[in-house]
Amino acid sequence: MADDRELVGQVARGNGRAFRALYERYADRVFRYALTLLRNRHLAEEVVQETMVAVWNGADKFEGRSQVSTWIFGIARHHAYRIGRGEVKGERVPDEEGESPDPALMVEQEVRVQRAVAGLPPDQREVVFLAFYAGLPYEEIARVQGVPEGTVKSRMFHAKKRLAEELRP
Amino acid sequence: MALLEHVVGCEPCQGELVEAMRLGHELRAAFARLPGPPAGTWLSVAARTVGASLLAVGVGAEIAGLTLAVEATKSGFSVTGSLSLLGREVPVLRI
Repeated sequence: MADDRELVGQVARGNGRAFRALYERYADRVFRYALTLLRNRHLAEEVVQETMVAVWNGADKFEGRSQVSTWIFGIARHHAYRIGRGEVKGERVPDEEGESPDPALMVEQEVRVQRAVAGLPPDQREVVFLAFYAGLPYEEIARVQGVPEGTVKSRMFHAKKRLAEELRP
Repeated sequence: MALLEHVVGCEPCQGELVEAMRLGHELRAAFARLPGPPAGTWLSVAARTVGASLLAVGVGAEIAGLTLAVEATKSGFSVTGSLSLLGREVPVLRI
């Protein structure tokens, strides 16, 4: 199986199959990232579309100075904020509070975790997603967020503290 | 290494480590439960990139077969064909 960099290289040469493979690898993660940022499924889907189109158009400009995931999440972040501000299609879909899976399908503790994460300030919520789910190291999260690594560590410290307090058994 | 040696002999630190691991596990599970994009999202993306009508046709059986694929590329369309024989695929056509 080709790694991410190989796939991006093939996409840069216009390989549609490689692009499909990259989409399959990243669509869920980008959607969930956008959902974490925007808390709206319609906007999150738009973010996936804009991000993947940008990946297709910009693959030949990827220089490999960061991980592919950092590059893609960076693009997704840019589009999430643009779309969140209503700059796409000139409209703003109302917020959908409690944008989470059907609680009936989740065990009680997972519902508690979802609520605790949703209650974090946006910057902290994003750091928690990128670190724990996307698996990015602090250095790469700092690149995605465009802040110093120390800021990421600080956000994570406060997020963990708050989560630990809220999720204490 | 020194940190590891400390944790091995320190009960409070072991407790904190277990808590941190539990939190990480729960967070990963919670994010993994979030939904993915609707199935039609790919079609919207494909329509704006590789083209909506990628075509692949295959004929044959496990022993031998022929696959013909039409793909959109950034510079136009490509047609590729491959012959499979006893599980090995051999490219035979590229336009």
